Amino acid sequence: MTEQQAPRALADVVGSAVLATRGVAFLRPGLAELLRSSVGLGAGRGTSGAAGASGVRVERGKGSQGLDIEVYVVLSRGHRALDVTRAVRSAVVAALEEQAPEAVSARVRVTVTGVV
Amino acid sequence: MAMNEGGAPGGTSFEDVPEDEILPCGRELAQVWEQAETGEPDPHTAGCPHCADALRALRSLEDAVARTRDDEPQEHTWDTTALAGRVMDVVRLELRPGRTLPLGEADEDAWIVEAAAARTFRAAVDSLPGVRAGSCRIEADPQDTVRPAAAPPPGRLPRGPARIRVEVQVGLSWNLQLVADEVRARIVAAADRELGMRVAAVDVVIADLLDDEGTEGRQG
Repeated sequence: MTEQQAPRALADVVGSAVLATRGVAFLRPGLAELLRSSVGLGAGRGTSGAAGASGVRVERGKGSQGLDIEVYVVLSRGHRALDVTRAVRSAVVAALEEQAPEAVSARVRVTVTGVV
Repeated sequence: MAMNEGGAPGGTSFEDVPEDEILPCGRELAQVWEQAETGEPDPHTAGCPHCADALRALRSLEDAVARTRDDEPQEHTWDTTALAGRVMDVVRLELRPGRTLPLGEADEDAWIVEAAAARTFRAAVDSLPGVRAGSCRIEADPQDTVRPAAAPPPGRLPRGPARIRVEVQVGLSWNLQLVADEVRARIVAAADRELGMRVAAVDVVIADLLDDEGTEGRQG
């Protein structure tokens, strides 16, 4: 592990943890970006074209050592949304502790964008 | 069917939400998808990078949605037509999410988009016999927003209990007070059991009456 992993590598760590959480169907697919590109919107959405890129955002927190992590998930039907978001947060924190200990003070925000 | 009956979320900024599902080439996303599903050749789509990107994204979404089948109870099995519909549902939820609403307690950082929550509530209402849900809006409860603990992030409601307003059409055989109570109970139960959303109040508006066949009863 490097001392300061690139946000992209951290996003991969976060994304894998999220997808392994029971009740998560997939990350927000990011189809809106396909349409937004037509009207010049979507600047700063942080997409890189990678699959699921719009489902995880990792930024260095302002003025702190911590990270700001935003996760956007589509849930599988039949799971209580709040319970899944709590499990997602725990999974992300655990994965970061293990694979990116410098990121332990991360703030993790989880948003449910759909249920399928 | 509109995802969020009641129209665009008024009074809130969603300037980055496209009005239509139109690709940069001018084709409508749903139409490109439907045509590809039929297998009919389309000279435009064959040579268009925007359509190709869209189809690739939709195919990968279709795979993802199909995989969720393994996670579902048997009674929810669905066919391939339903699969295509569910893919477009996911797309539309992403395009028109509405406001972002808090889940759980005030000190948590968990959220759900209004359109997904409203869909859950409408399904709960539709489970009552002779009752059809229409528009469903979810707001912050004004009683609760007097305490400005911390400003919510942009586009998100304050972290307090929600106030839900739902319009319903009901069969003539219902007592209106009774049906309002039943609707309220279903929504409160769904908010707790399916979402984990705190609810301050549920306003039920009887928007119309249905005759026994389930069609609107009022003429003109």
